[in-house]
Amino acid sequence: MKNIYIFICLVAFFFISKEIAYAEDLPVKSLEKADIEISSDGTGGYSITQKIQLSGEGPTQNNQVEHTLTRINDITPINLQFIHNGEELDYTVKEENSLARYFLQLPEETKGSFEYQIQYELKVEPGVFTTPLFVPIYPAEGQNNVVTIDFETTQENIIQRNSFPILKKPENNQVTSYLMNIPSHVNYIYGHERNILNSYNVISWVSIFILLGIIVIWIRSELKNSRAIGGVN
Amino acid sequence: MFEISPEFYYVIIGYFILVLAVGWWAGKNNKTSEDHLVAGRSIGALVGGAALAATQMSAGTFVGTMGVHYLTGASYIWFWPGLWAGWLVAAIWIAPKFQKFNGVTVPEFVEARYNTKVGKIIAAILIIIAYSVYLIAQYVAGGIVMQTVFGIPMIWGAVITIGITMVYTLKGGMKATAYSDFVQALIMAGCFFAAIPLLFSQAGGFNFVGNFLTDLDSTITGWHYGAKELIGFGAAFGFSMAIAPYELARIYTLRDAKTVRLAIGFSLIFQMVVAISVTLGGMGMRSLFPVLQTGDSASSIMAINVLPPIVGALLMVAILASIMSTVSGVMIVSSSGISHDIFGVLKPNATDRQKMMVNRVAVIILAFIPLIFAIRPFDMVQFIVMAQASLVASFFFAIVLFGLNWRRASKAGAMAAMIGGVITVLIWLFVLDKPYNINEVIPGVLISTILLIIVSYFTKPVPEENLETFFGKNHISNVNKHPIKNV
Repeated sequence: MKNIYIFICLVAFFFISKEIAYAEDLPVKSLEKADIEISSDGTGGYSITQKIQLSGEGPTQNNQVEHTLTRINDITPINLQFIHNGEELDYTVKEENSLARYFLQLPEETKGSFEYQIQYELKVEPGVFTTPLFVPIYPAEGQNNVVTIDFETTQENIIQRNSFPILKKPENNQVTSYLMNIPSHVNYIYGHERNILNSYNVISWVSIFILLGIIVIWIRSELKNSRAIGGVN
Repeated sequence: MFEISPEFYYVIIGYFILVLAVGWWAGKNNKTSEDHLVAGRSIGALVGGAALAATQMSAGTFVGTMGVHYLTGASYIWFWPGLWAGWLVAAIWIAPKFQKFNGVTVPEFVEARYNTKVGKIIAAILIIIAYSVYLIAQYVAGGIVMQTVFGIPMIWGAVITIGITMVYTLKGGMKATAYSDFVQALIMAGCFFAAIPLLFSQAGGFNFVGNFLTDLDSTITGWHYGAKELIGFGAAFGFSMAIAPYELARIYTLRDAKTVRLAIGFSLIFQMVVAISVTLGGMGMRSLFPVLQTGDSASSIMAINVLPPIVGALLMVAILASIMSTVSGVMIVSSSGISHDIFGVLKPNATDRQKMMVNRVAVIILAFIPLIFAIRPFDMVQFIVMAQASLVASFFFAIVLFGLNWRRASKAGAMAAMIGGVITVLIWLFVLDKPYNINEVIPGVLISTILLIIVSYFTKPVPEENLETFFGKNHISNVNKHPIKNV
């Protein structure tokens, strides 16, 4: 037993004699809040306003804030404006194959928290509902839903449940989604009638039935085996 | 805080009812400790394989690994072949022989092979401490999932998850654990068949996601990690998995050596489905949400904001299932360490009924101790969580692998290997501060192996009667030598 005590003492020594060093938290910029309004004319025209608030004292490279914009379905923004305190801000664009990087030039005196607005329009093909959004490269801190997306289409349309972000309950022509960060695009699907047999519902119920089916078949075969073993005994 | 569809409540509550029912059904015929701890050695290849896979996958797989893929991209998937190499080592040189030994606990093997009660107790203590503390991370993860879905405080979420796991483990023992693991593994692998295509259809398709991520950061679709790092990860996981006591304990539950090999094969299929899905899941989420503060939130956001409610709820259930299957496996292994290894040595004439009573009390105590540390974590806890897999691997790898395959491995060699391996890990981590960024398990296992070989050559061999169990022509099983009495 002596060996056990020596071993335990050795292990305990190593654990107790070492203190944990935590990385020091550095101040970084983060997404404080984003309110996004998307208005659809029901024929593929979208008008979008993103109100963004950044916070934190962290550095910005060349006093610029970088944003990504997905080029999904080759959609590009029209009449794009970055606005701060009612004034339009300069920006530069770096185009790549599947995304574009927009570098917003901040005013010279900018320190700490910074609020601005991005306004643009989109025109998409009929049957396409993908709506690209500008994503600043700073993440939101914590676990709160700091991003609100209000989507509205014309009154004769109904927003379907197979949209992204997913709808929590059936909606009409208006929906508000709450998220932890800005997605690269949203996909609010709408039509004149509620489509119950959409791909999401079908895949969901098929998944449940397949899983339950396998479990039931397995339980039945286990019961059969145990009865057979019981019979032999 | 997330906004949740009501379907989440129904699916999660339905899942809890299902695993409790399966646990009750599986455990209703348990009479002896052999029934309780090794499921009467009755588990077949499919259920056994699913149980091996479910036990191996934890909250870390669905939350942490997906988070790493979210942040770093595809290259991290190459740690899996290292882990699977560990499984192959187990399938060829370890698991079938372990199954034939017909033991109940892993420390029991240490005693039987090396003729050492001290080694058995050290092994039991290491398992109990390392795994109990390891549970803390699982408890916190379970609490966070329940908090996310039901909005209840994290600690109550942990209590509910652990409470349900404890109930079916107590009632049904290893059989309930294996059966519920089968259901859990089905959900873990099955949910992805729906989830991944839906995720990619929302993200713009496989081609677009690949192009987008390459433009966003070329290392996401290329090589974020280099060969040296990936070999290090793979070796660390492989060494740990080949001899993980919570997996070896499950090997005892399988019918025969052939079943063991088949079960490991099935387990690899489940793991491959999850490995590929978790990789694709992390990358798909990166293209939908390019800047999340932590990759760990990718799986929850995918479940709640991207997937349809029923599939999303199944993904949350898969995370809960991965936690519960790991917790139940660890509970069984740790509690049997107390009831059969430590209590068995302290009271050699204890009856099977007494051991079972101690086992059940141990399950309850070991279930709640980590809960206290989950509420009030202290520095040492974080160290043990960080080092536990390496400590266990460095302790067991050489003595199990060589013990089953090399007659000359001696008691002194085993003691040197166990202690040397653990001390090497501690020095590598806490004194040398992980030089060359090499995972501590690699020097730990190497030193342990070298010590076992050298010391064994210069010391007295293990008595022939101990070797007969493992190398004898008649291969007498442990159970035949020490039959377990019925209660």
